[in-house]
Amino acid sequence: MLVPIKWLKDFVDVDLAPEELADKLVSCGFEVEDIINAAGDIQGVYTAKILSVEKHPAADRLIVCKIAADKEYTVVTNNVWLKPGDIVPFAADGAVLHGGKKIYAGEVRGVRSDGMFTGGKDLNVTESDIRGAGEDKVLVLPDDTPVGIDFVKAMELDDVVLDIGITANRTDANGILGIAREVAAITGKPLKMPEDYIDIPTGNAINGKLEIVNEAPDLCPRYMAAMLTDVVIEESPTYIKRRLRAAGLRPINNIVDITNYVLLEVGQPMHAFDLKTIKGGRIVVRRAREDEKIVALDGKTYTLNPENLAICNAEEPMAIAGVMGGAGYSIFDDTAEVVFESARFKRDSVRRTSRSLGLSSDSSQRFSKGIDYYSQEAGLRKAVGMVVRHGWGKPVKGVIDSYPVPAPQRRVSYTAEDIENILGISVPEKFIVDVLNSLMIPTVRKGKRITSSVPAFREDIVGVNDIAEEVIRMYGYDSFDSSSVMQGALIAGEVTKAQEFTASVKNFMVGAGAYETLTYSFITPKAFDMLEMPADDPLRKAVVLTNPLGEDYSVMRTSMAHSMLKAVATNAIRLNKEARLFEIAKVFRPEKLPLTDKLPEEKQILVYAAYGDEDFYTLKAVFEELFAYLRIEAEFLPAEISYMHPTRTAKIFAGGKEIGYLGEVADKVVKAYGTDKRVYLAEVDCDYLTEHASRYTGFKPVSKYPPVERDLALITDESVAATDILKAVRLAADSALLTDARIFDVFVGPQLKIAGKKSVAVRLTFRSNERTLVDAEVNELIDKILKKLAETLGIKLR
Amino acid sequence: MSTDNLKNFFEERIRAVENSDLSQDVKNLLITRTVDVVKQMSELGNAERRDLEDFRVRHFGKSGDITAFTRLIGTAPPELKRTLGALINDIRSAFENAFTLMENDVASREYAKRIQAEKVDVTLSKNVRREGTGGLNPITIVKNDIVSIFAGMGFSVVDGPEIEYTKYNFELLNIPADHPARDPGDSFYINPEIMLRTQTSCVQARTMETTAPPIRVVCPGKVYRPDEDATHSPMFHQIEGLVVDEHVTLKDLKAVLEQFAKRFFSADTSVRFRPSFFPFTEPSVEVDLSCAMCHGAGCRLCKGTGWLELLGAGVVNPAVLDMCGIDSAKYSGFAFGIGLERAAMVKYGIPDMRLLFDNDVRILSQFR
Repeated sequence: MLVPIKWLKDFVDVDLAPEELADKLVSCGFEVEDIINAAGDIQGVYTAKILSVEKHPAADRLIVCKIAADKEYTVVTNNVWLKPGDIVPFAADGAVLHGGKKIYAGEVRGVRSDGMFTGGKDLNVTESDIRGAGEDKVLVLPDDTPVGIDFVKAMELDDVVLDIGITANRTDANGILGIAREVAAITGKPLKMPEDYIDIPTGNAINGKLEIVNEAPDLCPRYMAAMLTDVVIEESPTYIKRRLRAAGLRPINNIVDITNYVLLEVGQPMHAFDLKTIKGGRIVVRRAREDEKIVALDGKTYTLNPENLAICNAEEPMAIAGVMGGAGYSIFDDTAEVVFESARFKRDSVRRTSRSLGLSSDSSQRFSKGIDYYSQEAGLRKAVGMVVRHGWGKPVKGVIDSYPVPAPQRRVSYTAEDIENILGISVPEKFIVDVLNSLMIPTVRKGKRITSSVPAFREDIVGVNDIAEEVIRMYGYDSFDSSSVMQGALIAGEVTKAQEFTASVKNFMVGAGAYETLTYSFITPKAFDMLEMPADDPLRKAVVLTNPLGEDYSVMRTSMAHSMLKAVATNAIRLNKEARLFEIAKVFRPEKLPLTDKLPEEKQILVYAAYGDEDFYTLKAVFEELFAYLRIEAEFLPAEISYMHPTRTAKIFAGGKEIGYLGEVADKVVKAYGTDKRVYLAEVDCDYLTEHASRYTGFKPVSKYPPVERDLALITDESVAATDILKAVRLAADSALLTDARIFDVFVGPQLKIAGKKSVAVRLTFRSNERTLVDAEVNELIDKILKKLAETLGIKLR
Repeated sequence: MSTDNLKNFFEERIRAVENSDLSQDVKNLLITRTVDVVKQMSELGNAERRDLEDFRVRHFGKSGDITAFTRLIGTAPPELKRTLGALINDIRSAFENAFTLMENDVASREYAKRIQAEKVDVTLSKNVRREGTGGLNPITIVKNDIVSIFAGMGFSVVDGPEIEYTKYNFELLNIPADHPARDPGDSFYINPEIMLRTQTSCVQARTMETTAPPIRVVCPGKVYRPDEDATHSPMFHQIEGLVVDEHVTLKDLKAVLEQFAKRFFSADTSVRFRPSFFPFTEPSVEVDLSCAMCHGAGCRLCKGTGWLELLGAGVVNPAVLDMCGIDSAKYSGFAFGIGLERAAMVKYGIPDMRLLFDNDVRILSQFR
């Protein structure tokens, strides 16, 4: 919201420096984002009167002017048409023009020139500010312009504009008037309403000429209208045009400019109709009919539907309510009778219509923020008052006000103690009462009870907490000291097991040399094809966003594979030689699609990927160690997954459940992500890990007796899996004495001289907690094991 | 014992033998053999372990000549047996001492040789992962720091869903259906009732719905809004804090946030409230912290103001308490929300939020 301080002065005698005012506004909840000098860069330009004009002694196309500003100067110019008596802008030595251009005195073909004359462009003024300013030549100022003063002052361009951010609750502050109310309270000065907020003459005359039928009070809770006759349409005076232009609005004619002026000053969007376009003398506020069409002021045709509110005459829509008027129902050069509309349309209705039509205006933006019930009347008074003040027309007696359900007068009743209970500090009763009154919230005290009557323009004030905020923002947030008397029960901070172990898993992965990535939860729907998932893969069932930032961010991921492969590719493509990466994040798996009332399952997945000096076993080691660390027993079994290497992939099982997979990513999938590295990838259900992990499982005594180690060199079919050999070993031994069994070497090759076989070296460790084991009992166990291996897997000793 | 000492010692023994009453034959035998072995011994010089072993076998083995001295004792006349025995023992133990010394000498020469052979260039690096040692994401680091500060003040950590009902994201937070914040330009929707949460404040509502006061929780998590530029990401992280109890006030909020700020940045950090607006708190405040870099003097990080905007907070709107089933006449509360990306950017001096989502290990490896 741009607030020119001169405009503010129409309401309050502000005598603070702009910076000081800005500081005060900030401390009261109005963030001043910028303080703008309206004149821009312009400096050192003065109004000057030409005293004499002579030909340049050495050049036909130049003249030498003697001028009077604060004293006499000489200026050489090629504007040979200038004549004595003209008043012009004179940029003296050292002047700065719009855009930062600097002017210096100098010699022009042997004659000294003390500066130069300038045109409108160099002074950032346009035709609508000063006639002639739009032309590409020296600007001749009106005859009554005072001579020898700063141009910026002479043209009243010496203004400072505050750019203020308005919070969503303070809809009333989206106008100069609303800010003025705050400034009055802040500075302790009275708010003076300008005289053109007139009382519209009362009477019934208007009813004879115009009827309002409000068929949609749910979308239009209030519709006011006033009328003027004998209207003269002409160009607006400079002060109106300048103020509109400063806000980025284009001056059109006096009546249309008034509606925009009121929008800026009161914050109430208005519309002006030519009475003769209101067929049947009736304004009907109704939902548009299906496929009803309107050509708006932007020249485009819009097709409406019953979701859109339309302002109609007896026959057809004249305006899209709160958004834009129709091209044929506006103000024309011959308009003689004007109807001003000042209405409250529901903010979400205007917002939806504006969005669905793809049509936004200053009015729709303003309505979308919300309008209070005070502004319709204030806007109408100001608009009619401006017409009357300038003699552009005569008001018709009476105002039409369709306001079926008037908002009740709200009162908030409380004590100073209630305020203290919210703030934690005690504010004197007198301060509370005085400051609320200064904010134009009429407040009285009776004994300990304070009652505030909430004015119509403060719809944000509902209860005592809102009053407390008004009090503290004026009392000052720096009045708190840092002590706390927070009472109540003693609570020990709690971290759930899932949170604790998620942190453990992350720390473990860091210990494994991995960096934690951060990837978006939404991915491209193309991911499933990139991962070559079959058409019926349940992971293709992804939640779709209705309004994504783009297709690449349009579905919620159901697995972490795509996100992680992208992160890997980022690194590989940038020629980072190696990387171990991990992330724990949620995937979203809906029961069915589209989502109706049930939220999808949100599951935490641990994803890990590595490339560089890696192979399947460096990958697997990370997870075997992780599971050991978490005390989770897991098993790895060969598996096929669409995007993984068919013979280098395992699914991971624990507690009879599949909890993830790991392996090498299929090379053509890796290529689809833009790299040709061998990439190793794992995904594990992190919820399972954190639920089943255990930190301490009870103390186990350690054996004092020495272990007995035996190595067995076995010959087996190449197809027998390591895990089956070890399972058979444990099953056969069926003894607590076998404390460890592991395969330490596997050998396949021609030296073995038996096709289809492999040599597997198994190391068995036996140990007792009670005694030193003797060879005989170990041998007995070994025999049992060998027998079982031969029987079940056809395995022999080498 | 040095070779000279050895020689002196044996000269002494030889003189003792010469002066003894032993027969000349025995004397000659003892003297020549001893002199011979001493000579051989002195020639061993820089012997290797194998030479020493040979020497031992030759002279001290079963058929060694020094061992043979013992047999002389049996041949000697009884009255000389003691003398001869003493002399031979002397000679023998002198040899053994000398031999042990030589063995030690060999061992230490062998050790020195091995140590030389095992020399490594300690300035050389091998087997180091080129991209470093792994690390947490800065967002996780900042989250952990913040959570542990609040855990120390008695806050528990709670989680909530990221795909959320509009009820929790809006209605229960006092953001009615016609509120501008519900515009599709400001939130990602899945259908009119389900959306990606735009704020962790949803977890406030969920917590209050299921938990009776006293409540003291923080809720970290991902949130989503349709913005993307140097200071906005469509997915980002917040930590929401909520306290509900009897007699909780705005002043308590300031004290708690001051504690947080001092621990998260430094002990001289101060906190400033500026009035603001959030639908679910009333009064609402923007919380500024004195700049972590310039400590209030004004610098590039704080754009010369001396203050950093880091979080929003306020007293829980009584309407929110009531909607969530908590008696606002009895209980009050405060809530605050911290943007983790912003906190990380401030803490680490990261210029563009998008870098936090870049995932290049050259960036990730900068944080611990």
